[in-house]
Amino acid sequence: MSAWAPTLATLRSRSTLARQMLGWAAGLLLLLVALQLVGAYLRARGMPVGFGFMGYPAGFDMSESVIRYSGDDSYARALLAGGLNTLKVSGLGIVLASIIGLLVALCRLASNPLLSGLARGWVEATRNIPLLLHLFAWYAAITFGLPDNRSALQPLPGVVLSNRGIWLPSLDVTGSGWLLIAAAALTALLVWLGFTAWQRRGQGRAARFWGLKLPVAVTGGAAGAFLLSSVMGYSVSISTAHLDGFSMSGGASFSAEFAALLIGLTVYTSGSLAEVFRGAIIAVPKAQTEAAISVGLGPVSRLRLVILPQALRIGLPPTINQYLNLLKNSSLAVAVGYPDIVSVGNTAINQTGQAISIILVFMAVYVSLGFLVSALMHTLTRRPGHVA
Amino acid sequence: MKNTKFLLAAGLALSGTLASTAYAGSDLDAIKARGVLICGVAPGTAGFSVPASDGSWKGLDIDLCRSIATAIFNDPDKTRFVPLSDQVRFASLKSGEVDVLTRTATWTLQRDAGLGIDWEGVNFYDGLALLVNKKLNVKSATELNGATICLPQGGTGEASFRNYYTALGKTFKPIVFESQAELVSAYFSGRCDALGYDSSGLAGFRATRAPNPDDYVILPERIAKSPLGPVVREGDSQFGDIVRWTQYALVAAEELGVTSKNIDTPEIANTNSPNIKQLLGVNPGNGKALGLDEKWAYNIIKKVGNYGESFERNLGPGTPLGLERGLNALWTNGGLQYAPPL
Repeated sequence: MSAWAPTLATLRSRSTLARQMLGWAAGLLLLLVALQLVGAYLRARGMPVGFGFMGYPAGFDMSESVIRYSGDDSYARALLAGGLNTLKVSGLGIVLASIIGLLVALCRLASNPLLSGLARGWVEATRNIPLLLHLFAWYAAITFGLPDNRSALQPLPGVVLSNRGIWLPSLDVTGSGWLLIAAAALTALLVWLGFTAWQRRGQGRAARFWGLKLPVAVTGGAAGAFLLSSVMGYSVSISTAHLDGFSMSGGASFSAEFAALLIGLTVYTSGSLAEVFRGAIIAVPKAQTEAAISVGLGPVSRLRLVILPQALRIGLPPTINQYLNLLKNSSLAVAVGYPDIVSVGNTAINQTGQAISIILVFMAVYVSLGFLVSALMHTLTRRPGHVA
Repeated sequence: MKNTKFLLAAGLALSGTLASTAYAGSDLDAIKARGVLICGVAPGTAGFSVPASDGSWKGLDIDLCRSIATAIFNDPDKTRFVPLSDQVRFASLKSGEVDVLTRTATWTLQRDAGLGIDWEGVNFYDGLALLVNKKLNVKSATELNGATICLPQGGTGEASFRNYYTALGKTFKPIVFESQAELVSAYFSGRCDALGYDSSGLAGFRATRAPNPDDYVILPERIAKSPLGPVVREGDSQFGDIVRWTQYALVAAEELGVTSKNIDTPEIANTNSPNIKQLLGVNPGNGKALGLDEKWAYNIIKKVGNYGESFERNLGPGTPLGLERGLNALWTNGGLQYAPPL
């Protein structure tokens, strides 16, 4: 019995899992060997390779970050902040692109030739123009088209638009303010549960009011908060943006870079997503639509309850593909000055020279985010009792 | 049958990994064999390397590259220019894509010691500065507390500005761009309050890209030193010597008063001055030491000109940039340009 017998036996076994695990192990082994070779080559040339630099202070600031970050923090924290920025723009982009893509797909399927023509135009225009051009165009539109801080536009009270970004009014929450928010949430939840119970009791008649559930719950929450604030005197203040020296302070802001990147990514991906959705909707058997009509479902309910769930399952692989494309395309952020992980990593590479280590970090981040998106989508469309 | 195919595929894959860049010790041999010197240059920095409408390149860095080519080939046109952004310039040099960087690259310890490259002298002493619109009514960099500053990625700017403002106890917000075109466009659109770059680059941007150059002013402070010079890979010291002494020959010629105009006049050609004779290669020895023709310096001065002439035609008062010699004057005139004896 040679030493290779167990390996050969695994290869010949009918267990897919065993073969896959062997494949993974071989791949990892190859990667480790390659990394060792490269590391030895660089060390021989006097260029040390490793992850030790991650603890050093980064020495550069970032224009925006979800977590608290300054140049005194380590490179590791800088890369984390960059990764969260990537997640922020990709997550929002995926959601918005899906909404727009769905709307465009439905327009394309409409019988009205104007609607379907416009939708066709949208799809062709957005997906045929290279993404980088989208980004440059939107960034130029925002920075050249909008006025500067001193003469910023105020279309609605508290909403400020300038070529530096968009500011919205935000809630300024201090200690007692949190109680108010908690009270509002609790009241809203209670109202929601009460409404659901009434619906069940109502034996179908109450189910017609399903559209009122959310507004009633929200109103209930607001009433609860109002009651609490008038009794106890708690308050929450709204902060809006105002000019302060060179920049705006107050309010919740979206920088021009973030806005340009988000709009560019969303518009570009929505074209391809629209086509994916359209194909998936067409693929649902016509009998389903006919059956839904015969049961008495209106067009919106038909779509929501019968067609779309089946279409999403059919179109899941290409949809995930488009989401991953959006995630990877967000790395073009540095072209418009948004500090995503690739931009931050590039600055770190320039300052430390550790290109290989940082690119490994990029790979790890994108692979894990991709897995996350893919796993999430599979979980959402899983049929109970089946493996997706 | 299946085994042979697998073995063949594995063999091909392995052989791919064996082919590596021929890292011979001699970049100079490779250049001579190729017959052309490949220089990495900035994509478009006025006064240093700018493509003209007829496809040729002009600038101080271009002249330096042409001087090196003249030293090796006695022909300044045996050059090829590769535009490189701040981001990729060092990687391109290390990978062998270019032979030398004549590209306004700032000399720092981290780069010199940590990246496997060497600076061969300084052809322009510069400093990081800020360009602001006169509308802001700002007279000094210290007044820019909380301002937004557009910076290029890959330069020393990000760390230097942060060090400067932290020492002052002030803050600023950096917006970082990879492409120079986007950087300048974003600044002139008003996105940032100030543009941070080498002062020579700022003069160039103001002259060439500002809607109205007189609206903008370069603030007097220099945030950090920026000695700019040619860069080569570590490994071929002979090529490094040639690059270094080319730059010094340009300066030495100006020190001795030898220009492209007067180099063939009897006054210079038949001079008694031992220094000029040494420069022009009348006394053999220098060329042999460098592995070049004895008339290498003569050829450079005749075909390209000396440092002063190059500065004059690219950056001087007669050009749109209109820079004073300042730190780049000869040491005898209060500047820092100083050539060791040839």
